[in-house]
Amino acid sequence: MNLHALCIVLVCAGVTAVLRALPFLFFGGKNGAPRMVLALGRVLPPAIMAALVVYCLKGVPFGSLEDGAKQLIAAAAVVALHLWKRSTLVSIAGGTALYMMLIR
Amino acid sequence: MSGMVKGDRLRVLRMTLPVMCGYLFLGTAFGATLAQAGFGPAWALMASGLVYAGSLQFVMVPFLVSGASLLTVALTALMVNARHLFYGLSWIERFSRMKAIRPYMIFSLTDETYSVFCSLPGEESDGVMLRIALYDQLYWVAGSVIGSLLATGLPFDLTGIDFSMTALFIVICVERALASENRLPMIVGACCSLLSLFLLGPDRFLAPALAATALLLTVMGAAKGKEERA
Repeated sequence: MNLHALCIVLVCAGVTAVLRALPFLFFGGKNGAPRMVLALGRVLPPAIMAALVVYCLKGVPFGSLEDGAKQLIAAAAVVALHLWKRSTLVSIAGGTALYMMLIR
Repeated sequence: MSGMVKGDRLRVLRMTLPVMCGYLFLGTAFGATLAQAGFGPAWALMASGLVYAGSLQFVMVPFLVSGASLLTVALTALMVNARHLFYGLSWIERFSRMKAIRPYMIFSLTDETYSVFCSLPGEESDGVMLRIALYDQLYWVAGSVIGSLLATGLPFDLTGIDFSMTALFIVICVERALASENRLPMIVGACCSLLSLFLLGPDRFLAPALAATALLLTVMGAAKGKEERA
């Protein structure tokens, strides 16, 4: 057993768990969270989802034009499919299939 | 499991299907990378069971090989995963009603599980939410162990299938944009992220972007509250 490697895994696990738990440690007590924090919590999800889309496509402005275009075309296809059919699985499967074809 | 209705299992499977595609594929890639670095299935199981954070686990592999100092590891983990600080804020009240399963719900709040929660149209039972979290981690752990056993990666080329997670995030955004009358939070989140991406580059832009978003939304919320009271 590689003890140092085990410690590395445990440190990664510990830091990640603490980061995920901090909002609950601060605001999850018996007294409840301040109203301002709860209000922020209610408006954050759409903002975070937008940020996660940017996060997934973060390579686009920095990579090659071709790679970026493929990602943006597939992303646009997901939006178009979803506006058209409004079916989550159709939009995701269609966009993913298109992307897999484009990169081959 | 509390509050589980027959048929919920299938519904959760449907809801988490895009995550399944992404996690099985990326998990397999992680397991294979780990195995090639000399760490077998037990390590894959432990890492994906205990750390359960995709990008950090990939970053961790070279550290395992080189035996990096624990301080380096801790600081890297902090930087790679700082965005997770913001995910819990939306679930403080919801999770506080969950009692025994609350620690696991907090531990398993990845980008993708958070997103599936955000995509729920209404209030779901504890059982459904636990099942979403549990299924997602099972996909990730299963992928990791499979990848570790195959070691050289998948025998067939599935490159690009993890785009399903990008697509999932996009669909949730479109749904949110169509449904909600207040689109400002999404616009703020998008603008802060894009600005941060171009200012700071692709490697560590997300946590600062989320911090700026949270600050702006708090200020805007306070201003709006004042307006309503006046």
